[in-house]
Amino acid sequence: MTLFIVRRFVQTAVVLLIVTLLVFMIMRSMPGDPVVMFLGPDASQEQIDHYTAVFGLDQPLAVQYMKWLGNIATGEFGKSIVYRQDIGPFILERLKVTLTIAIPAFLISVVAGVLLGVTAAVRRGRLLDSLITVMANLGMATPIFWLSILCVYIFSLKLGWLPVQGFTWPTENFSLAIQKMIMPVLLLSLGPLASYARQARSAMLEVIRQDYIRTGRSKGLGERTIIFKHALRNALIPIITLMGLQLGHLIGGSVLIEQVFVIPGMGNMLITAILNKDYQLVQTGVFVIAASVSLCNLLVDIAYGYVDPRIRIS
Amino acid sequence: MKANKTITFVLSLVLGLSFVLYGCSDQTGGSGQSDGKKESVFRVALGTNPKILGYPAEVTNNGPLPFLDPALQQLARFDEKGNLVPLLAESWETDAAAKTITFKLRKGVKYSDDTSFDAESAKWNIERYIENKRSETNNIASMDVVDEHTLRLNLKEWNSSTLQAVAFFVRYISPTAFQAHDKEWAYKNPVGTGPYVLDQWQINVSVSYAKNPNYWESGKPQVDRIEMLIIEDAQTAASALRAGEVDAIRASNIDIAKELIDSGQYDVVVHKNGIGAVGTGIIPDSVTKGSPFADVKVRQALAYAIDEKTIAETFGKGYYVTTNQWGSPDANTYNPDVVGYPYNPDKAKQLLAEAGYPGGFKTKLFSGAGTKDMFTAVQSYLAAVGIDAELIVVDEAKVQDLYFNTWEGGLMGHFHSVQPDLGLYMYRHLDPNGAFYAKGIPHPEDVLELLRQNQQAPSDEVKKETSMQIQKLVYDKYNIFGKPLFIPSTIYLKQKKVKDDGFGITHNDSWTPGNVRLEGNLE
Repeated sequence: MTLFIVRRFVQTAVVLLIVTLLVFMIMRSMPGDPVVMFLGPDASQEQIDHYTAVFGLDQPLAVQYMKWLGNIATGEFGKSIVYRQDIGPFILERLKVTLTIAIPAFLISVVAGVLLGVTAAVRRGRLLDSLITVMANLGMATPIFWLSILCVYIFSLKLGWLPVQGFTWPTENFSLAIQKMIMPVLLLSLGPLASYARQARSAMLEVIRQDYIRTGRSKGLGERTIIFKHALRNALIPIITLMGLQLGHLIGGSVLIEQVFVIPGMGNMLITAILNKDYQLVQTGVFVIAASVSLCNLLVDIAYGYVDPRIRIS
Repeated sequence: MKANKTITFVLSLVLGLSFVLYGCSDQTGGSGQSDGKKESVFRVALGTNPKILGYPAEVTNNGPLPFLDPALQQLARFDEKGNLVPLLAESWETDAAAKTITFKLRKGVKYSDDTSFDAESAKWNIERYIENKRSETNNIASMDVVDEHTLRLNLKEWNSSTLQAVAFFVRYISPTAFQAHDKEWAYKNPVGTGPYVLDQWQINVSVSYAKNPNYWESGKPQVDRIEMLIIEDAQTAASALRAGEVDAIRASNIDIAKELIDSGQYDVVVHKNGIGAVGTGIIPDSVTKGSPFADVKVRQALAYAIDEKTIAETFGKGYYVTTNQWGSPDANTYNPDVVGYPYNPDKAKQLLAEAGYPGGFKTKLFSGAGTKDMFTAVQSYLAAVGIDAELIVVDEAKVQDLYFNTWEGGLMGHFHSVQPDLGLYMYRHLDPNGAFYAKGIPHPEDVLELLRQNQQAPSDEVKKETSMQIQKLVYDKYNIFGKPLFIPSTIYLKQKKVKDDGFGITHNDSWTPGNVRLEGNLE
């Protein structure tokens, strides 16, 4: 198992190196000049030349790439062109905000999604199954942006229960923080929840037809033991795969929710950075997200080994 | 049975928690309480996003300026008509022959770190702008501190635009605070002479200010705190206003603004004088080899082909101002003698035929995502006179890339500061070495000569006279900039209790935080 983990770490490092090169090349091949974006439409050529030198953009591309790579290796990450601040602490602050929203959303979606999927599978063909399946399809198909606006209209403007926008750290004002988090967290969890429910249902349907489940029943095991101990554990492999993908998606993909609810997270930061062609910030932001996704996939691979001993042995 | 109990327990917990949280929450809207003492708070939501707060020499465009206003001040600001009025300067004198501007600075003004604002500190601040190659200060050859409260600027050449550029755009920070730290500290910590001091800056979220107890204007500021929220999504900003979470917004979506205006619940201020506004037009690339727009008759045909009034009415819902030249009809450099090109498709066809394009021609029309619908309307107007313009939607960076170079012999949006000072703003495009649009437009020598005269005008009368001539030449004779469409008026919506904030009154990106009052409703 140790060798397996080491091998996966090395693979992850190679993937990340390729990611840095790709992101760097994509950013530099995109049209637009960050200095021009930074200075605005009234800039003079003299100013443009001055800031091009200040930001180090007058150096050859290979030098710029190696410098950035060196910064990553030392954990310094360089400076944002737009915000003129150290990128490391800047991204860390935004990552903390995103995780504050993403982790509860992840937990809610996993627990509720798997439970609903299992319930639908166990009640296959009955009203509850149909209801859950329809709701799951709706959850996946409904545009999150539209649903966000609808929720703001109902819960903030009509009922006055929840704030329209903003983010507060729970350590600053716990009740306000929870109020501000309710809508973003629930909306962010909706899509993944629907995916888990569908995945769990189909995986469970596959498993509960197996001979060993029938054997368990004939031995007189309780239904709960059969479902949660024997069936669910074997149905978990595809769900764990999905969990790895969804967690990465939640870290980098909460852009719409962050825009609508004015949450200063990774998605919000990346949108601003991309629009301003803030090379260093976009490159490092994408690198951090890629590293998070790779780490999640690594954890998923390790989790496979624990959930299914056959994988561990092979 | 056990499962039912669990469900009941969880539901009760959630419901109970909701009530507790709702009960604990701050429902005071525009005002809050601190330590049992009533505190007035003015909350405003803007769609722009400041990147630097405390080192204005590197704040390079106007959008974030409202976020600086509470803490950092200038020597002068604009009044409603676009005239400079004193702020940190008591008065100024210009001498065209000697090429000098002398500022008499206000006495008794202190930075929020309790150090004095004087001629030495003003000089130090202007030097930071020069160091950053700012166009506002590039005409300054040297500066003399005449006495503690008098600063003289010696100019490289007399330029009538320099007074406005230095007096309004240069903001002052405490040199002592800067030198005690460094530039990076200064980016995040504005230490100025303004009525407020920074309390907290949550990047991309909000900037909060608290009262400056040592502010130099007696009786000001009147509101204890200012919270400026960065809400880029127009719908969210409108919802925040409706829910009472903010007291004022700058509306970035005309449809949403119209809905709020029609509700009659808010005070509405429409920015009309054009100062600081960005005009929109359609500009042809007349320089790229083979471009039909190299012929002035084709540029004129283009202008006749488009009905700017209908476009402004459709997309501006009555809040866009049409113009046939540089700047708003209210501006003091607006020339009523400019004939322009009122919508006339027959005239457009005739000019195209005279230019050798009786059957029209094919071209490209570049648009950013935000102008796609409007440019589709432009495309159909052009098609009606035979100009087959392929609409190419590109991202904002590509748009900038195009107007930094040429735009393939085609057409694109002309977004420009419509400030009335033509020698400063129009020259940025007409300067043959200019950065934006300059490579795709002609630079007639007679226009450049007039612009030079305008810049070097020894009096307001000469400046105005040359401005009139420039407008006539640039639009009626050469039609260099193609078709001016409209100047979008910025709309501010405010709760009725908000008074004297100054949004939308003078410069588009300027307000008067020291004057804001909240009438009643402070419970």
